Amino acid sequence: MNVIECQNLDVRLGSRIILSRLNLEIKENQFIGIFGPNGSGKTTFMKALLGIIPCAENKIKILGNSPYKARKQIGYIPQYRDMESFQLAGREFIATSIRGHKWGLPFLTKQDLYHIDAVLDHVHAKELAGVPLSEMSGGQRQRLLLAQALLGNPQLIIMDEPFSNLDPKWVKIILSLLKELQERRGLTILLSTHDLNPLMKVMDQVICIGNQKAILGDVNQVMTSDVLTQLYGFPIEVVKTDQHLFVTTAC
Amino acid sequence: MFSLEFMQTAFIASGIVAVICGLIGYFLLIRRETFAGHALSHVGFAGATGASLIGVSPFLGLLIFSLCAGGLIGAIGPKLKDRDIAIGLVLSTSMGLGLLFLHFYTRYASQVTGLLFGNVFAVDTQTLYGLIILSIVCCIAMLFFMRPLLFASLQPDLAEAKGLSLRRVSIFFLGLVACVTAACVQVTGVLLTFSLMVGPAAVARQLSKTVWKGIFLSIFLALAETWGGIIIAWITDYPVSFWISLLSFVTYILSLLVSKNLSFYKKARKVN
Repeated sequence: MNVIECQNLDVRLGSRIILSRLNLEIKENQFIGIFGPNGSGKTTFMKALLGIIPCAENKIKILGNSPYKARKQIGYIPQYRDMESFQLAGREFIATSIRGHKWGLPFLTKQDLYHIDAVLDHVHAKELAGVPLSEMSGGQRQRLLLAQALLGNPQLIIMDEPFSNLDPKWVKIILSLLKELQERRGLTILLSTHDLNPLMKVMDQVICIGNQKAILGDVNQVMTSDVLTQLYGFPIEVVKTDQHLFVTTAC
Repeated sequence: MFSLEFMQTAFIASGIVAVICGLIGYFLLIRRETFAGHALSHVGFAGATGASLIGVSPFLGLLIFSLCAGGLIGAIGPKLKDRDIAIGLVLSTSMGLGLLFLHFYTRYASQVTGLLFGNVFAVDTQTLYGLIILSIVCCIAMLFFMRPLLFASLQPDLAEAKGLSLRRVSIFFLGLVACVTAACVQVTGVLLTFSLMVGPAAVARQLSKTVWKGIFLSIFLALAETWGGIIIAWITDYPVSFWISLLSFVTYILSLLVSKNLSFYKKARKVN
């Protein structure tokens, strides 16, 4: 079953075209890295998948539905946001997303609390339930957000630059956690990054975005000098070693 | 002190204002929109002086002007990064307008002073009814609106992805802030609204790990500072607004010391 389908998709930001005539299909239980330079449209593409940026009807299908209808089945972790000034405890913070878009007072039921504890347990972060956000490290906050994304049993997790403020130790911990969750729960994970290297061991496929285009495929097929040169419209050299990739301009 | 009618009115009026200031102020803090609360009171000043000029109740003028400005600020800048510019523009334009009205409005200097620095002892029955209606409107609105407001304030990107319109939330919330500002001006005046809307909420945010504790602490502190301010003003014969702003400042400093000591204590315990 396809988790994501894009057919002849045009994504615009105001009058600017970010992606043009995009066609891609992503199957279930895949770990996909989204790679591209700053401003190439990684976040915009993700926002289109989430239905935040409107696109023409039927051009995007998430689990067979429009992005609007599929929202409940998507767990989303946005780009880094300063949370250091908040004294709220971890459990209290992620509880705000439970029925957060519905009218009413932010009361929690016993079942809500049970679900929160369960997702915290899934990311091995039970101890963070009572810790204030201001006292958490970047990696702990990322684990907390991952727990939040798992609320409601989503089938697709979208993460926008989750490693931008993390040191390598935490990147490794979060990635192994993601891989474990993907295998255990059959999740499809879309994760955007500047640097694909940490993902090399865990990623099934890569989407390369640039120059209003996007290419999906295996890392060995997509991350080559020829493909990237064609995609970006100027000479690019890709050097591969055992587990590392170096992408550089060939001039 | 409590047998005098104007004192009873002052306690009731300031109590009502303190409750809604504590409640809305907490959200103003977590949304990082304290500047908006400050600006709306200044905008309201132009409305109040303009209303006085044409013979309408200053309270009504203040409320209408603040509401329009709140809606405008919310509509222009739903994202945090746009807000300072939007608020600054609305603030400076309406301050200019207020200056123009003051140029024509040369009578009743005491009324202008009351608007600027507040005079809770001068609250009349009509204004008291106005405050009661405003507080009921704010509390009912929050009954329906608190959950999405909290979600959009703490996690705007995620809230947007779940289908919440950040622009609508922003307009609606700043409309509420405008109502509370208009009420707050009756107690602290235009220039000192910050002390009652932001001071108690800042302490509550500093010391509370849960939302409900934060809200109740904010309301409790706002009440304590307001009633404390009135009692000390009665004893010393100094202005109420001065005492409220001083109590607010002292409480904030104490909360900083407490939270610093708490984190030092926690760190020390971790090391041991």
